[in-house]
Amino acid sequence: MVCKMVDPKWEELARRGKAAWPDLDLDSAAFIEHLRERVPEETLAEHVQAEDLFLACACSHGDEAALRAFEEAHGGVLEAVVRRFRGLGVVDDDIQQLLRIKLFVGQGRPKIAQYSGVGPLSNWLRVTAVRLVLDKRRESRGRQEHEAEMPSFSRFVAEADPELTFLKSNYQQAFREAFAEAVAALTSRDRNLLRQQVVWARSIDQIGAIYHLHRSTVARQLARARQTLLETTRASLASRLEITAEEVNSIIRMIQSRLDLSLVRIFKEQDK
Amino acid sequence: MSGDSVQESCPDENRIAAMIQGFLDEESLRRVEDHIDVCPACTSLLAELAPLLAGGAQPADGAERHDGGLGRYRIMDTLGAGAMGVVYLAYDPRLKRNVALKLIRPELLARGDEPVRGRLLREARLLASLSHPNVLTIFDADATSDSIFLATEYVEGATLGQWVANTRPSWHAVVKVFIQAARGLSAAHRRGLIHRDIKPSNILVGTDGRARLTDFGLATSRPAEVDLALRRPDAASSTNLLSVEGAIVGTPAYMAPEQLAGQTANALSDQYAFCRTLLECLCSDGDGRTGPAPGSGGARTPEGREDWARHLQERQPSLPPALGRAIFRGLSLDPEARFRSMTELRGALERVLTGTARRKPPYALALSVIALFVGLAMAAYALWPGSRAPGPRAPEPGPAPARAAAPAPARPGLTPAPDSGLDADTDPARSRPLRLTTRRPPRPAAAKKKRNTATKRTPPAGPLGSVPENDGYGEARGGL
Repeated sequence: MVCKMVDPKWEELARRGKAAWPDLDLDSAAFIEHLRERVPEETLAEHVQAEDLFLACACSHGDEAALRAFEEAHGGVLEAVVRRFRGLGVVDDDIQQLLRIKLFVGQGRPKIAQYSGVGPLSNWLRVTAVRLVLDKRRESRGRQEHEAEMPSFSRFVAEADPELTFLKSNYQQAFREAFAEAVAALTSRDRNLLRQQVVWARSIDQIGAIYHLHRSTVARQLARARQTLLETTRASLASRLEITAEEVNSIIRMIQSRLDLSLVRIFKEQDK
Repeated sequence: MSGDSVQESCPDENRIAAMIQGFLDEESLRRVEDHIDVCPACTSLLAELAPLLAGGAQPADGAERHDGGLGRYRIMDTLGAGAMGVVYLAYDPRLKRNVALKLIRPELLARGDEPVRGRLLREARLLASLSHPNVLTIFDADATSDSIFLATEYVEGATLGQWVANTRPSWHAVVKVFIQAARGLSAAHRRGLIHRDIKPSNILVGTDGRARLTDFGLATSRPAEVDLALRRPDAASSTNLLSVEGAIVGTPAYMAPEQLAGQTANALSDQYAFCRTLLECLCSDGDGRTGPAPGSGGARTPEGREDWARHLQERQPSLPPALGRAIFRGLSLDPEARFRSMTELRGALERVLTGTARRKPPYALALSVIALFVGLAMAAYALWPGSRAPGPRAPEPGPAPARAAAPAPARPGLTPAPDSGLDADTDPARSRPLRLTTRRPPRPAAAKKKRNTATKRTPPAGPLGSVPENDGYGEARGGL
């Protein structure tokens, strides 16, 4: 990008920001400076939420009117995040206050100043607020539970590998190894999608919302990941065990309906 | 998991927001994904964000996002393996309580079988209307875009299988739990609800001591492994690939023969599975061994039944014979020979308990009573070969199924039996310990010999009385 081409973009963005918040006391020069520092140069103008960024910039300067406008426009977003964690012993009543201190005061540097204007402020707020709550939860849990980020596996093992009890013990080990290999051979994206679905019980709509994908795309990717998993496991089992293809198929058919359980087990093991 | 890639520090909020917005280019996205893959903190961040994002702003294309209500539950933990998926511990913030969330992904059922989804949901809702202390309460049943979920009561406790393995309960304690489970099952049957999949992992024993049936009606009629089992009834001899009971995975091991053969499950096949589960729990040695030696097959062949009977006798030498008889009657291969209802079976179990509570004869005495019973019952069989039709029962205590309790007509050859050891075993109301001593058989060995000549289907001697199918014992129960 050539520098001279950039200026009109910033000016255009500044105009949009000011137009959205005519009552806020923030001059264009200061805002353009704010823009320059945060928005990566290659970012397309239409990807920049100038209106949201303008408000965030005014808030980072401690402008009273801006803070009021923020509460009106985005207070609900923070409230929704806190509501989701309420009653879990994770957050107390102070959390709303804490979030705002972090956002607008910070330790010398308000968090909201970091918002880059890429994507709506509401989403950035959700990410920031959820991360803050999770950090706080980790803090309060102390060291002993520190490693348990995901839902714990402890109670799960009590069932003594229900998905494997039907396999003869010498095949169990082969299956475990083959399956672990197959999971490792997936792309990180596939593993992440499966984790969200299987460990966290997220629906395809919810997963789609994380990745900005249509539900049918998510469903297709998940189905393909499972298929790959089975195929790789099948091939790996066949090379490990001296059994016929039909027998391998028998094992595959059996694990098919228990695939999610095997996945939970392996993801939990990896977490440790 | 991302191989040898270096673990980067967590992507900042702008980067995550850009990902959510779909603004990241392929390479940036891959790097973020690689990081998330190895970072539990970022994984949980996305997991916690997902419901907020899906439930909040509409996507740009204006398409409606439906969450099916699952979004309001907070997944806290994985609890275990359900009939068709993972069971989660979740929190319901609206009602401020923990629930167990059971997720069933339709793609795991018969592929592309849309009616299955509808059926499951209908049954789940029907079940939700059934309120019984011995049936796991269903709070909510709904479908998301890609799964069906049930929110049920969360019970602190263990599955029946775990409970037996961990606490090694007396047969007395086991029967008490099964009496409770039978109550729940009766209540369901009265509403026309069939369980279809009774087994040790589908009965919960709460820390409060209360038993609850779970996973009602959720089993598909013919899971893949049933087909597999059916194709290799002699799995042991064919390839030795799968352990024998193992080839008949979980569910099929408890299935009544007629259900396994493809017939629709009904109250009588539930009864079979119930008794099979009870049998297994009584046979458990606490170290994972629950039945006769591997290779002996299930309880669906005469030989298998004898194996189980012998095993039960070894494991529980002081088991009241009436209990063994009740179990094996419920396990009759012919559904007609089973108890006519779970209520009847429960009555039999209750009488066993009350009977032993009132009268605890010394072991030797008990044995002689058994021998007497065996002899008389075999005689009854020999004398009354047409004993298939369910005979009249003694009136049941408590609410009996809608069926007139006909007065028991005198039956040729049977009349002495109910007067002697049999009733003493099973009907405390009509028996006193004293009677047992007076009715002591002079020569048990002779009785056994007589039995052997009376029929070719030799039942193993022991507290069970007789095991073979439909051999007349069912009818000689008297008090049962």
